[in-house]
Amino acid sequence: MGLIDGHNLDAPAGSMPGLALTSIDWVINVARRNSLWPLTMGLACCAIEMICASAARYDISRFGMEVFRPSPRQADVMIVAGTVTYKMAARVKRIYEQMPEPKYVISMGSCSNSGGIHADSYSVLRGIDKILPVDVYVPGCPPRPEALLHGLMTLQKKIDRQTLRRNKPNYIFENRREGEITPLPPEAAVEIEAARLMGIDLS
Amino acid sequence: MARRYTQPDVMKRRSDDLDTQELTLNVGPQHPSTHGVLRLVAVTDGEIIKSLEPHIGFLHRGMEKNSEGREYRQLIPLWDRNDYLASMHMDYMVTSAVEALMDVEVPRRAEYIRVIMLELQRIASHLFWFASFALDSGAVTPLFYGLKEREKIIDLFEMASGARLLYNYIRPGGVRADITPEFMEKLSKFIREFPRYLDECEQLYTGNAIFINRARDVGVLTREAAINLGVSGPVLRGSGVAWDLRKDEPYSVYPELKFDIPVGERGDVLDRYEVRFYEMRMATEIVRQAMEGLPEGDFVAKVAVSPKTKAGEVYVRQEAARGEFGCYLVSDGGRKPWRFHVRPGSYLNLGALDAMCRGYLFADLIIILGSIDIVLGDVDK
Amino acid sequence: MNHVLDQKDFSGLFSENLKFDYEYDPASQILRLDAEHLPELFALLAMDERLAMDYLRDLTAKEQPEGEFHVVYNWVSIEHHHTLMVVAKVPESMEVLSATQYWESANWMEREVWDMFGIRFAGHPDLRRIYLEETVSFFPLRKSFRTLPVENVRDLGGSERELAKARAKAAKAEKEPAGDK
Ligand code: SF4
Repeated sequence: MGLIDGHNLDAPAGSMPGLALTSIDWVINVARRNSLWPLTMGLACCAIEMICASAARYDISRFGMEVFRPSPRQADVMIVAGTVTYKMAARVKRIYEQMPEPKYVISMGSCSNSGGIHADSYSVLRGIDKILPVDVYVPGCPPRPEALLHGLMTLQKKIDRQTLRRNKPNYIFENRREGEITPLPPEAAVEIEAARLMGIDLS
Repeated sequence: MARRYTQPDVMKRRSDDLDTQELTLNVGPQHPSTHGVLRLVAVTDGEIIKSLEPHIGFLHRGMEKNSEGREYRQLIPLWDRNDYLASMHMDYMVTSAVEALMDVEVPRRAEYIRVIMLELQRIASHLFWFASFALDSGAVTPLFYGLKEREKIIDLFEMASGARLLYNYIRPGGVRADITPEFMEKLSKFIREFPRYLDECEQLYTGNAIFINRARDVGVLTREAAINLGVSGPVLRGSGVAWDLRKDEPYSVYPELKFDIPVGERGDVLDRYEVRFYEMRMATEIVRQAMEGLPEGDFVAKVAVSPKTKAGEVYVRQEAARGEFGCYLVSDGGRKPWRFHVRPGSYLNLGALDAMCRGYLFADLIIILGSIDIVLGDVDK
Repeated sequence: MNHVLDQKDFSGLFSENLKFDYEYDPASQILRLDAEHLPELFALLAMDERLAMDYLRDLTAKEQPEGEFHVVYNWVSIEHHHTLMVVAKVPESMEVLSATQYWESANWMEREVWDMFGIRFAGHPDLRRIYLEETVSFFPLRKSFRTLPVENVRDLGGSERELAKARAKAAKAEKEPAGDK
């Protein structure tokens, strides 16, 4: 980023107050990283810690993320906080698809990371990453609010590196390039089959 | 003033005679006011709810099935996650069921510590309810007031058990760790300050005319309906039934402590609100008495790490923060339960939502739902 | 364990009114009977002034090791402060009478038992699954149902112990050659 003073250009003095030169990526990233609007996706116990993170003591608004949106159409980041059952997983997926690009997913808690304490259950999805691309995993059962804040800061760092240039690493729409959907991990097939037995279509 | 309407009443109040059509409205499962993953399908006639059906199971984790494969000591952290806003109560529920099938003499100090923790948990849970209920009734500020005060209790729990939300603290034979002098110091400070905080809240919210207009005579559940529908906890007491298991089927050291049971008169949202506030005051009082009477001695009896129980069946129950929790344990004499069933309080309270909502405006639905204080983890198991 | 304040002995009352085989234990307040006789029992519990069981606090089921099912009821009388637990043996047809005609709270609890155990309740107004989807073909709480063997699912208790054993063995094997030297 460079700064050019208006005076040394040909224009008459005072008509051009100042210019900032920087890359478009930087401007866009700064704008985006400091106003991440999360979608309230509180599913179980972890949601309580998410609410605590937004309340008086932990005050998530210090990071520009206090605007919890109930509607997926206004949200940038989905914090999946809690146990995802097969029955809910289909809904989570649909809500994710309704979010506008670019969108991020934070998986909060062992349950949405991997099934956690309920991993041996017949109705719990073992990891939200089987159906959605996840950007940041926050471990813990439940993670403390500080851990969630750290997760959000990690996401900000990730956004800082992103670029609008196609076919570069860290391309901003890397999760959903044109015509090409991020492939599901190999374990997803097992989960989709298990969900089918529960009467849910996850594919 | 009765606020339960039928369509002709509304027609009378209006000058025109427009006929309205029945409409099915869906709320949830991803909705900020449903406290989690609950789907409500309401059939409305104009603005009036004719019937309401909650669809549940979005958080069904199959806990009862999972319990059958786990040892008793592993059950406690598992059931912690059932009612995650009152996980001390969950600990106590599993523990008391297991202890009932074991020969173990729980030290008196442990029982007193348990009562302190259970009542603190009741306050914490009701504070969270206050925060979210105020949000449901249209105010945002109490959210911060309620959670700010709750953090103090969470700090206390963290000192005792090491965890913020799910404690795994009460266990067969006693509690996991003794409470320290620092804990007692902090606790007595909290007990001293808390009633003043409650007064502040009541000044802020209870007397508020807008709130009273919204909450009074809304969501009425009569005494007979409440008993027949099997609701429990503050909802039952709000409907005028003086039924509290701490008094009526006492457990632990509750018979040695003095406290009152608040009872509502009208059975409406405001009554349930006031019952909970009074319960918080009473819980503070119980904690103070338990602190004064806290005996010296062991905090845990000698119990095997992975205890075995006698073969048999037992049904224990307790008054948790949001209703009566029953626990039915069938054991075949091993380390794992043969059948472990929990009667969750919120489950039946939610079942009564239909009866509470019929005839009220659709706009009242959220405040009525907020007043029964459900936790979806508890509803769905 | 709870202490019920006004617990009474109902032996006389039951022997007077129940004209079929049952087992009653006043110490634990458990009444065992066959589910065919539930209609008479329901009428007695709900209508008799001395019993007045107005609050059905819990209704669930269990499977016995021999494969037969029991429905378990827990009543309390808010009027008289006494309790009763009833264990009813489910017949082969897997159908018992619904308690909803006397106690509305049975509605959701019976739906749960149907969902989890596949026991039908005759006369229930709306017997659908409550937690799982309607298309699910199994009943999870039956002992014949086992959770799917998915790869990353471990039997927590068992595998922990095996791991600890293997580790101890390895440590021992390491020590022994060192001791030889
Ligand atoms: S990770 Fe733990 S705290 Fe979070 S939802 Fe799962 S069980 Fe609850």
